[in-house]
Amino acid sequence: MRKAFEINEDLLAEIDKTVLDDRRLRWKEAVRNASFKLHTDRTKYAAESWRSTVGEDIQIRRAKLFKHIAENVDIDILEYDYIVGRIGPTILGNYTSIDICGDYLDGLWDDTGELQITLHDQTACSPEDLEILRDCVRTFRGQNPVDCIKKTWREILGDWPDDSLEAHIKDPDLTSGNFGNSSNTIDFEIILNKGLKYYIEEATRRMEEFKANFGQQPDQFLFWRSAVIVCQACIDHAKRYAALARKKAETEKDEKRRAELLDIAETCEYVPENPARNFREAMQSMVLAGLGKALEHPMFNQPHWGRGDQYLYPFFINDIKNKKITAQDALSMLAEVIGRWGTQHMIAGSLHKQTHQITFGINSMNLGGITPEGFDGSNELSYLFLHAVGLLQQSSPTVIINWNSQTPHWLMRKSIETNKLTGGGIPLFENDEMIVNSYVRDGVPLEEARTWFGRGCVWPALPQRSEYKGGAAAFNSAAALHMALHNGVAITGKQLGPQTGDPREFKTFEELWDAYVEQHKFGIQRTLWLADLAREIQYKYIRLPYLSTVSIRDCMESGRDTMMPSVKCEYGITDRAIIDVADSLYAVKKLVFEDKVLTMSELMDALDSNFEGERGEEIRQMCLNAPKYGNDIDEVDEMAAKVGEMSAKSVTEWDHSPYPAFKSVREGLSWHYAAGLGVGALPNGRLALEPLDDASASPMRGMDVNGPTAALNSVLKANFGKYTYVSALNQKFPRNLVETEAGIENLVAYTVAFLKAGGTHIQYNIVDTEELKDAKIHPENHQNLIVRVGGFSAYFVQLSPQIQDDIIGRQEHCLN
Amino acid sequence: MVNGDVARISAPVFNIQSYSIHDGPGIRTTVFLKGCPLRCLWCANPESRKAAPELMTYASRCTGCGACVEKCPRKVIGMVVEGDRATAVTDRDLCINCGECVDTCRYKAREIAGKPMTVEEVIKRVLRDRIFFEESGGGITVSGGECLLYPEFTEALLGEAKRNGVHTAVETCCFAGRDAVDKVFRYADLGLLDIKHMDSKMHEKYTGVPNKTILDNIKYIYHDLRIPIYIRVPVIPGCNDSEENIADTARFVVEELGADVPIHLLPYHRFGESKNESLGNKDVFKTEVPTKEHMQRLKETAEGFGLKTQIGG
Repeated sequence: MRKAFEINEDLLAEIDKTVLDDRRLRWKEAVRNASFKLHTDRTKYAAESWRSTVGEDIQIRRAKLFKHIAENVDIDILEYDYIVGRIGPTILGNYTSIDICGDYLDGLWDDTGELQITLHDQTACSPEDLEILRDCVRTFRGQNPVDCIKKTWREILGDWPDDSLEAHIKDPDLTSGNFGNSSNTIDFEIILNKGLKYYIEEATRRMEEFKANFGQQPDQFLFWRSAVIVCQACIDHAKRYAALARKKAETEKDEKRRAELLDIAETCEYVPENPARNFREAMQSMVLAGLGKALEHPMFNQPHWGRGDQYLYPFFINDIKNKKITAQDALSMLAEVIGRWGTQHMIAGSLHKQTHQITFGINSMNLGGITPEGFDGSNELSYLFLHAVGLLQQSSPTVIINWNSQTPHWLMRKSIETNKLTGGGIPLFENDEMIVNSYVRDGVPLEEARTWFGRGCVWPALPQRSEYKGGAAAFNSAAALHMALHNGVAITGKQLGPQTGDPREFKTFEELWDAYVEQHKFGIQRTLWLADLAREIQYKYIRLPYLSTVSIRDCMESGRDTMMPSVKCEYGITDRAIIDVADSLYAVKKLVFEDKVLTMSELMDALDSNFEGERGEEIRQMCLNAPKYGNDIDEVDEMAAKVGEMSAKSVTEWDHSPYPAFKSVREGLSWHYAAGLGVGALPNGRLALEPLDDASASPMRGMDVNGPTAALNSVLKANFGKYTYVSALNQKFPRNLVETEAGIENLVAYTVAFLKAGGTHIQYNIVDTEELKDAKIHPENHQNLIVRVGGFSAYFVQLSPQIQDDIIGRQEHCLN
Repeated sequence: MVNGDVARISAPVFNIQSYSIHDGPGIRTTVFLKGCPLRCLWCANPESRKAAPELMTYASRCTGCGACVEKCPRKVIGMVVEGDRATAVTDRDLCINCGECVDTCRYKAREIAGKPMTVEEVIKRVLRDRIFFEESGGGITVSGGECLLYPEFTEALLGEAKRNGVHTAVETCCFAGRDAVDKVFRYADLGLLDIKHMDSKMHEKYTGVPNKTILDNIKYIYHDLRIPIYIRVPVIPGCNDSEENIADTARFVVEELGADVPIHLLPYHRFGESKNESLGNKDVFKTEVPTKEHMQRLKETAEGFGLKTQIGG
């Protein structure tokens, strides 16, 4: 087996012994007790700058806006900080992206001044703060990309874009700020090895060349000019931290802390301007360079770790080998940064909150995987990352194991152990080989394909390519089915799809299928078209000079901002709800057209009354009892394959050359809640407006009753990996199944077997007692919850309430 | 796939359970056969005792819709009303387990445990999980009920498994004649053999049969058939959970088998109680689950004999 790294097993053992130090524990406690703060100073400086640069080119205006912010925002160094630099001076908090997303804050114009800023936090704004926010909205009204894209969309397509959002046919809203590349990762490899000064030198050199060669594209010159402004601003911002540290040191009574503050000052004077010389400087450089992304676009504040165990490894291992730091030192620093980045919330709009069910920036890291040269990239730092997230137990970052056939057993084992500690899906597993193959199939050079990372959640992305998704990250296939069942009328009562006929008149299953395909393709085409239109509008109103400079090398080379349309890019969309559609279509096929126990009219009556009325419940039970995907039943799994293939092709066949084709990426997130609001009762037995199936390859909730392996066999038969980069699958395991050594080893083997056979993604929720309690009350939602004891056979929901209590009581230890 | 007559041999199966991880190494598919010569008081799978199909009902799922009452050909289902909740109740003395009510119940509150399945049907289902067996070192485990009641079936099933490169294990009470033992173990890679009590009288009291045949068979399987085995002891408080009995069992293992035979102590669990309710069994045995501390003591007792001992399968 080819290895990129020689693994020191003693170091792994040492890492296992590392713990969260006292300072980290105090920080965790403080985070738990802190309320989230909305900082308005950035918003004020953004508006100030914008008004003072009227008439200048947008590239320079955005660069100056960044500079004005970086020079003036309030900063602080908290007692928990060894690595400094955070969004705003408080332990939790963020700025708004009004200057980019426009009038998107919930409650901004209410007289109460109560703003819903995160999913759970509502904040009362002072009249002064409220006025700052409103002033910024007024300043950027009609001059931000969201307003301007929407306006042009309306010119071309009338009400459809707004109506389709209202009907949850597509997600998300533009106000999510997730258009054009705003979620690119930062190129830490360059920042750590060359420093930000590299970009300044490079841009300066290119400007000189431009002048010497009589350059013909002034936009290029302006881009390089903007690059110099923002990188210098970021360096100066770091030096503000250095000055603050020195000032604090003057009055610091504790000698140890005083020395630390002076150390902080020296470090921030050196990085991120210069290359990092050790692990500590590397971490500090990452935080301060990463902070620039948040200053520029607070909604997309996450720097992304990307392939952190690769680019950080030399710094880590040299310091360890030279005994400059211990594994514990490294863990402490890593945990500090993982912790901080994982608690960076975004101040999102209501639809974004509804679709994502979270408001932290999804900051992802990939571990292991193949190096560009084709070696196994797993190393001791991958192990340290896992250990740190296991100790921190935060819901962010997303941790992705890039599984491939070279992935060592020790990494898989640590992954399952970490999963056991974190409970819910951390880490998750993606199939490195399948994703690399998909990229290569789509024309990406092999070496570049191997550099992919998870952008946000499970979404594979190439770090050196921009990704466009102007208000079009997901399409709701179940809404298309709803329209096929209602002659093109969406749940809102509006005709948003083509008229494909009254389903009560359908005489064959094929008629229904054809109607569905027509609705689906219509919706997909509209959605992708809107994204294409957005690409051609947004760059006129927004540039991200900082992100462009420090993320995409091609921006520097070509002198073009990442918001500018470029063919060196990626496109992707989630075509969600494949399983809801497949189960529903199969139920109709079987009940109406094969077994003929229902007519289309009877079924439609039941669906339209949400399974109420005289025969409603009877018909719903027939629908629920129809064979379901996830049980290793060939006929229904074939339907899933058919729907999945049709849908993926409708995405990949969208022709918008010269841009590369859209890829189908079926991610998870929590969009099934919001998407469910766009769908009436379905023939799979789901009630109107209820959440759709979670993830994208997961069986209908509780309906995979033939054991976990049967569910995986269904996923494999549906062969999603043939057309999509990733299809997310969530599975639940009761805690007792991973309590023993053998239990952990079996879950490792189970995971590997699935991925080896072509699974693209899997993640586990280790079921806790709350879930079991819910299963006792709502057995219908948990029919797949397994109980495993030697020589005994049963499902949890088959047991009597008393026995269920018994198991709930014993959940925390082994059931054996 | 499976050839000829062998494939058509059938036995009553009441469950095929995938991702079984306590019935032998790795990820296994456990095939539970129905019918058992023993009548262990504490039986965790009471639906496995009789070979014939049996009706099981789940009262908590019953909505009182009455569909089964109408459907029952012998009219032995009635409605019992308690407060505002009506539940269908079957007169077990008159019920012939025909299963007509099962299909009519939309809420899955009724099921028939046990249906005859052929070797071909079972092996097809088992092989679906092959990739998981291969990765984990798992395979098929035949459990019960008691597979020794179906020696031809078990022999053919395990033979097919071996032909397909699948690891095979048999979980058995070992109460049968040598012919049956020879057949069942012909293609077995591993035996999970139960010892319920070392005192034959007590054994008979709790299981209905003495233990001589069982202990002889265990020795035969290990020494003569040379099949690797684990000894499994269900630890039932008040019945066989004394340190003395565990010591006797461990002594038997060390002296009559070998010190390299692992012993698994399976703490009693009450999960079978629900099944007794579902079967309409009355006056069933109940006891407390053993404490962690007691299990640990028993483990140490067995370990005192130099045996590799674990709690749980």
